Amino acid sequence: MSALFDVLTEHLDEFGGGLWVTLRLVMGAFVIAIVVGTVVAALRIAPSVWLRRLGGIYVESFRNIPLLVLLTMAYAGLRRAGVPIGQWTAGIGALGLYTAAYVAEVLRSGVFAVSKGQIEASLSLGFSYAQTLRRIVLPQAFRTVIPPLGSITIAMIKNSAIIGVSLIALNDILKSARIVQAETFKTEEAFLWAAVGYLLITVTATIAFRFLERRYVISR
Amino acid sequence: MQKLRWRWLTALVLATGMVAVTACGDDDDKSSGSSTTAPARTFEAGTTMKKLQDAGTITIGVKFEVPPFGQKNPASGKVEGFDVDLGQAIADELGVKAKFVEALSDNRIPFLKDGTTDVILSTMTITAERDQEIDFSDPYFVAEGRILTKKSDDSIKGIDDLAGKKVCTALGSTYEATLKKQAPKATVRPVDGYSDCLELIQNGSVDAEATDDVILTGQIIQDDSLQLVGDKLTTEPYGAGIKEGDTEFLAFVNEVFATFKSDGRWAKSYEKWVGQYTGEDRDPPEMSLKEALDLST
Amino acid sequence: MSAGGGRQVAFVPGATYGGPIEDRTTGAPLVELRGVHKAFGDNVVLRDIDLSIATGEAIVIAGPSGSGKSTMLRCINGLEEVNSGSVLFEGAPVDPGSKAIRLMRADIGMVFQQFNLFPHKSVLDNIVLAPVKVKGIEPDVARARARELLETVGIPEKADASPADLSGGQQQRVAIARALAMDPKLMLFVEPTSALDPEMIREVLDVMRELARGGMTMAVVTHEMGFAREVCDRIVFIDEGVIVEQGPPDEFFKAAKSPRAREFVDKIIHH
Repeated sequence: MSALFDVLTEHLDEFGGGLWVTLRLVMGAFVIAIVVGTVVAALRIAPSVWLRRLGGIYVESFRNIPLLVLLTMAYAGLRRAGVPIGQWTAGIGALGLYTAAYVAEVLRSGVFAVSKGQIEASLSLGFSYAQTLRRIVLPQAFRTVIPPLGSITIAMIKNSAIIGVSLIALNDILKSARIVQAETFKTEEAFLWAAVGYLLITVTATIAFRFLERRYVISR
Repeated sequence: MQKLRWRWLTALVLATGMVAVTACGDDDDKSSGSSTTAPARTFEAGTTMKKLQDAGTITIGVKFEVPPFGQKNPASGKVEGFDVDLGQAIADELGVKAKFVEALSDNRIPFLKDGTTDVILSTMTITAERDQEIDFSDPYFVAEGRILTKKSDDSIKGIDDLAGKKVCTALGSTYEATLKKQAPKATVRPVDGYSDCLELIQNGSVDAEATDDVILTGQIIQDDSLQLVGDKLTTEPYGAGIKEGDTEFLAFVNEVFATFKSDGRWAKSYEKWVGQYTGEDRDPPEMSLKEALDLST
Repeated sequence: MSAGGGRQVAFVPGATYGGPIEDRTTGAPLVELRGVHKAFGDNVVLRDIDLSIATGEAIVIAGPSGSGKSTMLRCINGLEEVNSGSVLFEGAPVDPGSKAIRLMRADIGMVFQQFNLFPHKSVLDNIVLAPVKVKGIEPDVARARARELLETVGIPEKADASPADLSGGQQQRVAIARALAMDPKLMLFVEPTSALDPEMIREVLDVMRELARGGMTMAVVTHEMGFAREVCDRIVFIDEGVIVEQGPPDEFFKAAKSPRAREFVDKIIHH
């Protein structure tokens, strides 16, 4: 047991640094995923066929390309094309845009889960379509999608581990554990602490979503 | 652990790239050469040699992306290189099939410890630290640590110029420590393998790459806009890795290597994989394991 | 408190609900449908409908299921667009694509079969939302008015409850209060009791009866013929998208002229 804790205490810098890198990655990617996901969801339900198609193309391309390929394209690909993109921008951007496709789909289904009667009730009170979307449909859609959004966020946190493996090679939790492992040859210990690091973040996210769920989810 | 290796060729060959991921991910490569016709030697029951003969296969961990030593030939799908020749020599002596699996710098020692591989021949430098975990054969090749840069970059002429620069090396290689010591102000980017370093130096993410000269030479063969700079940083004697404490097997491997060096196969293999490109002649190393270990302390 | 029926529902006198109970049908028509045609694909729902509703009048639209009753009400506030003919509200055309439609809808309350309360808002906020956001009424004023209306429909204690915690009858009464909060000139009821358990139907009908007595102009699609006979000024009988017959309830129930209406009345009386 003490060997287990020795690995942690002797490499606290690496593990702590890795935790911080992963945290920054997932927080940045989360913001992008929610913002872009909402915009794409709006495109997917837009009155214009072309806008809907545009949203569809986004979702299909980002969902159907493996994250590792996206990360490589976002970093090595863009750099080869002459865009001097940095590790952080490429990592957060690719993970965020990838996750946004899932967020958009969940939001879209959330919008469809809002009954037609809600829209008609709102219109019959004199609200415009835009007001109806903003005050009646979207708030309800967001509330119904809190649980699936939580699952997407957990998946995103775990997916972030690929960033350290890819060419972007940021020293996130997993990468830091691998550095410690390469240095100490203590494989089991290093990866166990990596697992603990990811658990810290995923459990925190789970608790946050449970809180939102209790607070906002509406029973019908 | 992940073994996904993806090598950026161009965005246009995405599909090909995906095939490469799968192909490199689980390699079932058949033996790259046939067994010798000579009758196999017999070994005492209980020895690793006997167990391997009973199994009919020896699993050897090599690099798949380090051209002169271990590279998966994209055309044939076979793994080939100097390390592979040595591994084949061991298999031939046992009269068994050689199965080559990819061993990265950071997973090769775990592979050995958990029995995934029987021997590691993956450009592994003999160090006292690693010697705590596994056993090393006598040095079979002595490389030198060098720095690789772009020819167009004249700001780096040696190790002292690496301060403030980004330097790539393989995760789990000796160069992480070497760079920390000799160029403490450099930013080290440890990646999964040297092909990643090649990509990063080509796309401008890093300024230099530090590793063994033979590996870097392989990269210059692929891309002649790169060059070696500065003096040698380190001496890197390569040894085969064997599970800790298996003295009989270690003695056997050392015996195979000694013959390999003395009967001309070493020189032939060297010429084929290294010499013809560098135009440099070399003799088989005479360094002992003890000398190699002393170098690292 | 229990939500039982039989309580007296008192509306604020003299306010927005029109004149005295007698002689309340006065003046020009508030709503007029002229030659209205409506089809969903090949399915023709309304054929050549002419109908007018006078200010202060309460009409019940009756007829077999699927006869186009609900669609007709939905054309009045522009939730459905007519294929041909015209719908006029206060003399102006009802056009779902126009900008004027919002002002018209603000003046036309609608109560749905499925209540359609906003589940993410409290009862009070359901009632206050439109007056504040659509009509620009001060939130405090709107809240005070909302509490009055909740008093009127008999559930003042539910102001802060969530719609999900209310019974169906209570939800429908909140829905009526929500519509009334806009001070509408016309109330449309689309099968307001069809989704309710029998014991809750009465509490909703009581509220509607008081509303009619208060002089509210209303058009009600319902199968509650007792309510029709007792409360409304006129019954409009529709079958297969056509107005077959219309007239005062006594006449309709005692001596319907058309065979289809007589058949309909017979069925109701014998069941």
